[in-house]
Amino acid sequence: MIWAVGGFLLLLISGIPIVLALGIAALAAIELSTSAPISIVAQRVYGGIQSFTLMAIPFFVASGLLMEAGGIARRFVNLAGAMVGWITGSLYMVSVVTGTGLAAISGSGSADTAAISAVMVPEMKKRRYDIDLAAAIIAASGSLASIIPPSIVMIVIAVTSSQSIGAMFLGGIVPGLIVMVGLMLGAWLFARRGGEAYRDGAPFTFARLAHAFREAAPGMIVPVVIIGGIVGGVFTATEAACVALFTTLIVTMFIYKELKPRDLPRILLKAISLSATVLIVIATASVFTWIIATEGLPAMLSGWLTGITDNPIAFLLIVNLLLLVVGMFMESISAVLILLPILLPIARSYGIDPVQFGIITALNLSIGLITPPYGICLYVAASVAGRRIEQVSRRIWLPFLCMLVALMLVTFVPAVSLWLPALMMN
Amino acid sequence: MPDRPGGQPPFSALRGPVPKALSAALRALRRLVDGAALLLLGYMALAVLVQIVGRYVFNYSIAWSEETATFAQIWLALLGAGIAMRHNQHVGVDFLILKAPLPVQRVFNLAAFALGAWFLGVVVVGSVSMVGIGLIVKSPALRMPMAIPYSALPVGFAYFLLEFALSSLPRILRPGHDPLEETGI
Amino acid sequence: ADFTFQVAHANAADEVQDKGLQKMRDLLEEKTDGAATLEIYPSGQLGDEAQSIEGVMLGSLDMSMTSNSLLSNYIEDFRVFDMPFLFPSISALGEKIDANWELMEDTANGSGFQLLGVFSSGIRHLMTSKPVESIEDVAGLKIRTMQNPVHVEAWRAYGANPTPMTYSELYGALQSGVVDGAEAASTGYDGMKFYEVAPDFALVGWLNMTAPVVMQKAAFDALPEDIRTALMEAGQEAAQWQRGYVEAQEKPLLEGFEAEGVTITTPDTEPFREASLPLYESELKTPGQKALLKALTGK
Ligand code: NA
Ligand code: NA
Repeated sequence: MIWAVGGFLLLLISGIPIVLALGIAALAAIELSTSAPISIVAQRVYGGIQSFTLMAIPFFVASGLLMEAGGIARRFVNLAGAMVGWITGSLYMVSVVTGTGLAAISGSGSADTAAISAVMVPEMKKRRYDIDLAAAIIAASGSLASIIPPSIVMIVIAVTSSQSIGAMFLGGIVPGLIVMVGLMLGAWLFARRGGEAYRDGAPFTFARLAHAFREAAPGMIVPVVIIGGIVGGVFTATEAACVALFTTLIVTMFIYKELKPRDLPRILLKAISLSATVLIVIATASVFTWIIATEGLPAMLSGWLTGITDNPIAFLLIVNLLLLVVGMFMESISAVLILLPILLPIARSYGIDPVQFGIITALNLSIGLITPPYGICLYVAASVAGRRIEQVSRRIWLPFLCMLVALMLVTFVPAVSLWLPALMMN
Repeated sequence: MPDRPGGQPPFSALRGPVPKALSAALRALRRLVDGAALLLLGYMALAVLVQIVGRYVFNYSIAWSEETATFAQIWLALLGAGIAMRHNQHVGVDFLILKAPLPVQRVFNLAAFALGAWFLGVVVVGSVSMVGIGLIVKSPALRMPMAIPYSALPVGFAYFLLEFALSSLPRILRPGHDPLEETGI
Repeated sequence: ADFTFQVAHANAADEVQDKGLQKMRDLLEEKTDGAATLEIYPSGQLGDEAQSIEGVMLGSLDMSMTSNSLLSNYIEDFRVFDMPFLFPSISALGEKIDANWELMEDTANGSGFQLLGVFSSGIRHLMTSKPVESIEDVAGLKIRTMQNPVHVEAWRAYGANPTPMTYSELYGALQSGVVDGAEAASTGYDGMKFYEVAPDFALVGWLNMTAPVVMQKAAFDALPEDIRTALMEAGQEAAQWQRGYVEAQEKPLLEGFEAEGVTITTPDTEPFREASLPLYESELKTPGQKALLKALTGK
């Protein structure tokens, strides 16, 4: 088992796709420490993705990509500009609000980050904003996609912990909004002392807001369909994702008229390959979790942890630290699949609500999307801004602190994540 | 999102009629895989839509829509893994290895390729006995042979292995590539 | 121990099925003086039910305990035990199984399995969010069933709109109203706290669900004779104990539900039973199924 973990870590930094690193490490552990026939690998791979619930992933990925190709990002930027463009550091504010809006239609952050960067960075450069902070804030705004529903990571968390996807989705809304407000506040404090460049706001007018809202409104049908459909008892999460896909097609092809039928195969193929990267990691990680379970690792770790402390808060702080470090180096989905089956039973034994624990996990791994050395949102934002990771990393502390505060709120105050699901689902 | 354009077949640098035929065969195979994947996604979306419409409009639930959509998803995920390999979209952490000297990179790339091929090969071989069981066992709702979804394993992983080889070989022959070309979700 | 058998199941730890396996482990250790034991993996840790059966077939798992509704996809003649209203009580069904043990064993052997014991998953009733007093009240309700054709057709015959759905989605679906109800055993109704979202429980007793414990026949045959004997005895004795335990649980569970504010109704089950009868014609077609049905019920 030690060999498998060590080998996995070595493979992880060798540049090989994580899905293969997982598979190789699990296979090596099976060969070295069990007598199981190798057909167990194929069997577990199949079992990992044979799930109707997971079908929400390709549907959400496809509808997110279609929305972005169909002109939604530009309209959301305009709307955000009309809402918060008058505040000091306006372009930071617009980036954060746009990120929040896009988060409500897409399931993962890298595409959102790219879309916001593409629109906002040139303007920020022109107005002489601190461009490293701009990239850091845009990366954090993009990472909101994993906290605010729909969220691929939360689907995986819900499936792994046998919780309702609807409850998990609802639980992410308040923490997501806290991060949004925190990011705006942090950026505002920075911009207020940052000099003339940031006092650039256009005056607020209702006419502009109304116009921008009318333009962006069709795009907001999608979150209404998803949340309303699930909470209202019309659909299961998978069905909601499917309806979101058809709604997106209608909005982008017939209302915005920016998506042409000939674009469809290219975008859908991209959705297929992006969601396949998630699904195949889920499939392969289930080989890994099988070997973890047969080797009795959860029980060992749980005995060790409960030996350290019997205080749930102390336990959660240890978990936060662990997940923050893991999130620095690892991609979210595989981190969830490997760690959650180990941590969740322990959390349950401390009496922690699985939904709260899921949100804590999602928030930690969202922070991982912006922390160096490996954070996909940070990579994308830095590359579009034309800056090196090292340069952008010097400014990452600001969004990091904001997200950390939100994380502590979710950790210490269960109501932050549990109040909305309780309110809406009863 | 930065992603590498669909890979040029690596044979293109070579000359002669055999590589040309191979290159054409590869292009045809990729077109076939892409087409199949699009059809699968379309089927999944329609099957789920039919399930919703059936439940609300006709007050009649179709028992097999969920089952067949799940089977389609398995095929989609396993073919899609190869497609993602072709576009270099699988997430990996390569910023460290790219700082290493080129001979070290070459050794790592070679080892990674050998181990990756081992894993993918084991799945292909191991899934054959599952397909064997699947010829006897029927699915719960539609009672179709489970070999239909199970055979996605050997087919999908063999294609994954092919694309993995095609993307690894150039990296072993001349290591060092742009760290920003990787991407993911 | 010289022989450690890994056994997997999808029920929660310490649920009635898990307790049965614990009993079987203790009996096996006792009979072999600790030479053989079971290593129990609950909660689907090693995969779902279909995977654990196929694990047994492929040799990656020693033993599985799954609901018959799943196993009957692999041992087709066991479809008989998926039939509604086969026997009214767990003990009556258990006695018939024990009395026809050789036929049961031969049937499983025919599909490459060794049958060790037949546990009970309980009698299945109907949970809804409005009281069901008679079969008429079921008409048009969206009822979640397992993805098993007999179950789907049975509920269609009762007038419901059967909606197969993943078990983990069920709580949320009941809560939000995607489905109006579901069929379930009292243990599941209790374990998953479904009474919070479906506070009406109608005792229709439509299905007396079994949970067979199986091994791969070839792997079983390769064991020494004393271990084989001990496994068979431990399996059957544990099954007898487990069925009695499930039956004894029923009354305290129902009392517990009433304390939780559940409305328990007892609709006339005769119309349900009558509506189920045509299924015996349409679903049981193989000679093996007919022989097993005759041995069990005399019909
Ligand atoms: Na989102
Ligand atoms: Na990171």
